[in-house]
Amino acid sequence: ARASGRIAAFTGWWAPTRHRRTPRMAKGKSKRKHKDGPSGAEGGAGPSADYEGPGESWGGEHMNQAPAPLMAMHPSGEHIAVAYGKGIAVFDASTGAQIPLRAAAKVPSIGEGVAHTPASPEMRAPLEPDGLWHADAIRAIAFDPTGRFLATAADDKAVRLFARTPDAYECVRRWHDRKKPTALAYDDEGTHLMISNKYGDVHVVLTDREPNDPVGTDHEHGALREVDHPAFLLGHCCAVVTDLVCPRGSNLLVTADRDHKLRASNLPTTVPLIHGSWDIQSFLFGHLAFVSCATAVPEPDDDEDEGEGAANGDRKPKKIERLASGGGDGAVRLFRLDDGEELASAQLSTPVDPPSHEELEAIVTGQAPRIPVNAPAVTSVDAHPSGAAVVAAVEGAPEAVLMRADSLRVVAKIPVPVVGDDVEVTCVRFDRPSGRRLWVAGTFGEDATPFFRCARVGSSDEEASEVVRDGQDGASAITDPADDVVASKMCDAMAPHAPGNSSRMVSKGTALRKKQYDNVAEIAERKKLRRDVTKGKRTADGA
Amino acid sequence: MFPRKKFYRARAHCNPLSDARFSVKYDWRNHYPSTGGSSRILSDLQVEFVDVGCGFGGLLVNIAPVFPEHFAIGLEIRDKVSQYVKERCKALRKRHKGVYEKISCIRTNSMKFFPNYFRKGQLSKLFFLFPDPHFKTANHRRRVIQRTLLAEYAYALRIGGLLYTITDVEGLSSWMSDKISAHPCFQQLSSEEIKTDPVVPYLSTGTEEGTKVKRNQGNTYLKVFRRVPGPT
Repeated sequence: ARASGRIAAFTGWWAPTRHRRTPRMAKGKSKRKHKDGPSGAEGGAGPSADYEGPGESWGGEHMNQAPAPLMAMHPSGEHIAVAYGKGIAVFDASTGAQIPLRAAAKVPSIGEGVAHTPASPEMRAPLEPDGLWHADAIRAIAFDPTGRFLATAADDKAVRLFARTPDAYECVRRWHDRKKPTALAYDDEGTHLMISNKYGDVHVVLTDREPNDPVGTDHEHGALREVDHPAFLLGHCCAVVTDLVCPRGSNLLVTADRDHKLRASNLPTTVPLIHGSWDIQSFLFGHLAFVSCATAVPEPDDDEDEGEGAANGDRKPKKIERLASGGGDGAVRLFRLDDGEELASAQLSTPVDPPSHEELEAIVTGQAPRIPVNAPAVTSVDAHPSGAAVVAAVEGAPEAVLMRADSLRVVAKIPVPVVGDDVEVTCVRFDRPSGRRLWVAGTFGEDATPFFRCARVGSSDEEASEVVRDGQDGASAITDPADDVVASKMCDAMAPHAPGNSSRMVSKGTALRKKQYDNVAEIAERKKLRRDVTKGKRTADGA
Repeated sequence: MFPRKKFYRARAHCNPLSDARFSVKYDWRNHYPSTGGSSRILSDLQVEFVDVGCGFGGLLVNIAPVFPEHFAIGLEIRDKVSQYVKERCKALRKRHKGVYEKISCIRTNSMKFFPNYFRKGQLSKLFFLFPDPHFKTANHRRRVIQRTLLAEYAYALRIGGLLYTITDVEGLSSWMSDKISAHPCFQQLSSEEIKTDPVVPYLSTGTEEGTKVKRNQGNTYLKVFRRVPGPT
């Protein structure tokens, strides 16, 4: 028994505990495993003790983010890659024939906790157990600017790199990370792939190297070291990075995060990129809620002789200087990358609780705290290759909004021809390299069946800007039966990957939105009560 | 008239991920009222000294008389403590006219919102005095000097600007100098260069933490770094 003199002061022995009653050890997870590893402040995320496996998410089942149909355009215009849930497929853009994806002869997987011995099953089984490339929903796919690679990133924390061969795409690399990836971007030459994750870090990997081939010296230790695993490039401190853009010709990497901002960081040219990006060019402020997507807006060409230049690739593209981004405040904003100046904005959906004019004044000048403006979020944004137009899609609205690139004035809202309720548009993309077609992907119905549609926008830069200039409301899209064939093949290929229990899943916008707690009054009340209780005890003891 | 610390008691630790209700775009005239009379535009009012985690405002109050021409601001995440600093500045301005006009405090989470307040290359001195050591490995990500945040500090500091760190925990001091030296935009100052700096004497004894350390006869480890242009 405890010392008798202190029993009177010992108050809480049998009181109900406020902390969790089952210690973590009871669940069978060993904490010792990660004790001496990277601590999370050295440019790598720390151990994630809460990930139970594919399909599980910290925060409980109600925060499962629904998979979204994604599209990526090959820069030459020959192929289109689509992904939905765990499935991915590559199609020929003109015929709709599916291009096979296969494993390379040897698929090494270098990363955390993977044995490197040749006999290990990891080395010999490149596919996941059920014959798919990923074990959980795919969150990003991207072709590189030179057209040699396709990369995919999924919620099973794996990033795969496929190399283009004459008749197929071969999976040549796979990397594992500790946190779920959110976006992918390549540098101009396609030699580096940048991967952002939910912890706020951006990692960089080399694409065209043999694994286990040492490259240069590591400047921190001065010795040759293998650089197969993702190297830390830069990070946003404890903020989910939602999108990554590497604008052509600018030597910048733009990272969008959940804290209402984007950051343009300089990519070093004189030292290897794998040593990190240390220099920030600018911050792009202006969004009033999380930033969900971003795209680089090319500079429009002002050459008179369109005919010659357009045909061949000799013409060097102009350095990109502007960026359009969409956010949870329902607005698309255009920024200049050099100094972060906001050039234009377009409010595409109405905020749920819009601040009044006085409130907005107070927020902007800093007298009132900023509460994020909640509106149906912009899910996807893309720029026409000519730089004349920007297209965006908003949560809950079955249409693609076309805007002029210089002023973001809305010129057309193209309705998506899908029959059904609960139509969600998740991805909009212009064709590359001409931008003649606009592809739209999304889901409809309560089973979240995927759909893909295509519309013709114009066969040259002039026509595209004409559509933009005319801008009749309710203009229906011109469709081409050949495109419809390709689109229907995509729908068929992706339909089996629809999630089973989509009722419990939330959209990307909802997952990014932070819950507002307004319990200040409650806390003050409880605190007051606590103080009173203590006061009572003290006087009773005769202090 | 002077605020009493005992009415502004707060827990030492605060949620480092908290971001719910911070104002993030700024009108500096609210903080420096004597300048509000004349119609100064935002670009005139350049804050140059920033104390990240200013606590009860010791450093600001001590260097204000030494640097009468420079604006200084403290960033503090704890609500009560930042209120205390604001009250203290107000009281000092009333008591001594003209000396403490250029110091103030903002309540903010500097790990999340630091770049919102400062333009590129605006600051000339950045102070990290006795930051929280966060001893456990799992909490190292909450330390204020970190690989990810150093890029933001380098963005806000002008070329030639100085970053001061002082702590009484030796492990933390070596951690901070490792991280900062690994960053190509910072170069450590030698002890001769440190001796000539007028701010240095105030760092170890000017703040509340500093006087506490001195009272307990602890050692302090001061490291100063200069912002240099990194490799492009």
